[in-house]
Amino acid sequence: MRVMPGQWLAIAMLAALGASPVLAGDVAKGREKADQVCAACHGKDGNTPIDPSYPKLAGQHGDYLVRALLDYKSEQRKNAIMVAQAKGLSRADIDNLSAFYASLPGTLSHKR
Amino acid sequence: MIKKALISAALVALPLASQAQGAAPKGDAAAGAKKVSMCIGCHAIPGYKASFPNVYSVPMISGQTAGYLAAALEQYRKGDRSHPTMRAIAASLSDQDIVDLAAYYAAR
Repeated sequence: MRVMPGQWLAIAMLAALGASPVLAGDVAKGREKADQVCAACHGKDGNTPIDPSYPKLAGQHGDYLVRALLDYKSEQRKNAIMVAQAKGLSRADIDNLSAFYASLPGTLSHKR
Repeated sequence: MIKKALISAALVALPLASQAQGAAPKGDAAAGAKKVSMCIGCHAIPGYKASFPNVYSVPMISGQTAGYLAAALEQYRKGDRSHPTMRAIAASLSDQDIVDLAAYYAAR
């Protein structure tokens, strides 16, 4: 099917609407993986990192967490520990982990 | 004579030592509150998305750990993180600005 010029606009608008933080990730699978590879540093609750320079993840936007992990995996974001961790994750792992951490209650907010 | 010289040397050295220790600036949340004008246009708007080069929700930074926030700003300033807007903003921040903003947002 040929897409007409006017249809591209409709497709772009639908894509923009669809780009919501609701992720396809599986929270239960994410929790399982998180316990194995993330919890030791970020805390089992995603809210108690063991070092003050590590971030809290609980309640953070899932699509931001996906972006962060993809950027580590491609080494666009540089951090020796996180690049190594992200390289061991599949795209499904990344979606699952992000959905899991986004689902946790946390202290993060957009407060001014 | 030698004793006197040692004491004066120690008196000179002491403040120098404490000054050197103070080299890493300490964050002041109240000072940070006056520096948020460049942050709030994106980070204080729920649902706001970064749109270039990728589309994703702008992260929540209020309540984040101060050490991480300072490290993130330093990485943007240095180029270890690549988001164009954040790189430009971080480039304009001093070491003191970074720790003040980190202290402010960590306390939110």
